[in-house]
Amino acid sequence: MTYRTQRLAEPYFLAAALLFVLQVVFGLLIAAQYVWPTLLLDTLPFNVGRATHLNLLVFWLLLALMGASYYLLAEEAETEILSPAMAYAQLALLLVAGVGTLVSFWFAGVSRGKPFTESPLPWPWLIVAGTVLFLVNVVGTLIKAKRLNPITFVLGVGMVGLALTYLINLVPSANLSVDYFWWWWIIHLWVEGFWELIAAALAAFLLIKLTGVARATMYRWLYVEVTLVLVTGIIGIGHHYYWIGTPRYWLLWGAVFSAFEPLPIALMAVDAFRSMRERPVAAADRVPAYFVIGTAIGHFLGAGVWGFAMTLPQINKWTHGTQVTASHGHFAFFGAFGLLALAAAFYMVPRLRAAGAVPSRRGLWSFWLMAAGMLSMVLAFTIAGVVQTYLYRLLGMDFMTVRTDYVAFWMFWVWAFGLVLFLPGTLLCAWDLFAIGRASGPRAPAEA
Amino acid sequence: MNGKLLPTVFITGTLVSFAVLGAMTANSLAAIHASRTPPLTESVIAGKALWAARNCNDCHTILGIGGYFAPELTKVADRRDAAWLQGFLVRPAVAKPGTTMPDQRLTEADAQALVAFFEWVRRIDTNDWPPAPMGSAAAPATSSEGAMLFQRKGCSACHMAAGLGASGPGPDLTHIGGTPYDALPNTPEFLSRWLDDPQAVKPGTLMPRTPLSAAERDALVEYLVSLK
Repeated sequence: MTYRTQRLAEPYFLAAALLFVLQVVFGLLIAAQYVWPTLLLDTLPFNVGRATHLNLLVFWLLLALMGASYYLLAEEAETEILSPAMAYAQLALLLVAGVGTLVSFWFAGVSRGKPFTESPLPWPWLIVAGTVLFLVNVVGTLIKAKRLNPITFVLGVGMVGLALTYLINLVPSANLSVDYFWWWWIIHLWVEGFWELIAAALAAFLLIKLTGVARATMYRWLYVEVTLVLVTGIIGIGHHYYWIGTPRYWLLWGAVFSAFEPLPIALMAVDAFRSMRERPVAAADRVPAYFVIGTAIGHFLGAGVWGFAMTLPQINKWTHGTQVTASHGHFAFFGAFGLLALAAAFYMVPRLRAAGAVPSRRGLWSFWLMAAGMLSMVLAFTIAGVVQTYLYRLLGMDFMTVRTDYVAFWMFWVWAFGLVLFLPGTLLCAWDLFAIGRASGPRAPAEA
Repeated sequence: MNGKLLPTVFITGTLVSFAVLGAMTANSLAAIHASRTPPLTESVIAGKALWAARNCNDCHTILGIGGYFAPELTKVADRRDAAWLQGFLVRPAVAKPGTTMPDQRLTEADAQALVAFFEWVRRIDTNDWPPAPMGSAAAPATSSEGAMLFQRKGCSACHMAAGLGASGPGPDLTHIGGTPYDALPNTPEFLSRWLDDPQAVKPGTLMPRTPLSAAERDALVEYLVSLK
């Protein structure tokens, strides 16, 4: 850590770690409801649990990525963050909005209806306010530094795009097709557009720091990756416009553009492996290095392969709206963004605490438990989805018969692997992020 | 290499892509409003507001989007008539004993609005999604109600009848009306009980219970006994 204000990242990471654990707990609950359908039926029905699971996902990822951005930005722009006070106010606003959202779901039973963006008013306004503070701080820091490199530029574009598309959430439409048309501008342009920019910039930063790969080379790769991400991904939104009341030409446009979406993701994976060969990663950085390689593989498999598998309309016609989508969703979110956010946390937190060489055992256990847990959950989801697609869609059996007699069996395994492997991994991960650099004795004095 | 080239390509590519998406968006929205969705009415709008407020979409999918916990509702108004939907929405457990759909404490007016919403959604031009199951695509258009149900309810996933369906694992039903299967009776009374709950009649049977209304069950029985 070189700049005092990089410390801003720490409370963001810690809040994210707690919300991550909570997200997994709620995921286990709703998986269990497939197996035992009357479980908490009156107190916490499936829709409330699912809304909680999805919103916690968005909150913890955003908090972790924003925290990582503060750390990265100071170092790359070679200056202190413009206003630490603003960054703390932003965190407070986002946490109040997050807690308010959950309390609204649980106790007031209110929702705005569309998955991921259920958070009822006024909380979206607080999220907007927090995000505006973040953007002012980021852009202000860059202007103050008068220094823009490809990493901070791509990160900035990603963050501005993320914020602008979120504003769509404030303007619902009475027409369901129109409502969902714009909803995909948020969901798709986030995860297959602007979040990918943030991820690519953050991955480039981590790879440079971990492996010492030449900046000029990394910058070239970064630009090629993000150009391909947006050129394939922006019109690739068409794969969500096959069946929702939109014109038929999307079947062609969506198929062609999204067929190329795995390309930049494959490049990112090659980039990570190529950089890792540059020089051996220091022993103290083994944990973040595992997470960086994990995200390269998970991103490619979860977003690239699992996404491509269902992206063509001839296949999507049958798999759309089944557990096949859930398998891709879990694999891609965790592979592309979850592991990357945690890679950043495991790289940055020891440095924020000036901890020097930290033990890596707990972090590595956490990595392997989560990796094994997610892989086995994804396989169970995939089988559930294929069985469901065959019986329900191709053969026309009743939805609920298929769910209770066939899908529930595989959801039991999602639940069991989640409980035995993934949850312990997340708990270890959160524990480690709180404890790194503190466990061996009194806290190291802060660098001034 | 020129250090400005890559950023320029990035910015240009992004702007051009957004320009194309913007034009396609304008075109799509115009088409949705003009012809691909029916006109909105007060009750459709009220129904959609309830649909959102009760967070139905995190259990059910609609247009294929949402939770995969409860039935897909894009074409629910094809499967169920308005009176049944109305009754189910107001008192789920009465209309369908054993359902795990939580009682949403809806008034009759609420339920009417939701039914209007489902009737509206049913008429969205979804490019023929969801697809008809493969079996039902083979059913002749002139079929009886029972013959259609045989395909649509998934019976043909395991059984053969009138040359359509699967050769297993369920028995061939081509002559079930004339020749009983496995020493089980083929009377209408027995077949009705069988369809209501196969496990109760023959514990351990592979045949799953298929949810059917009384009318659907009777139509299927009528069809089955006609297969001589």
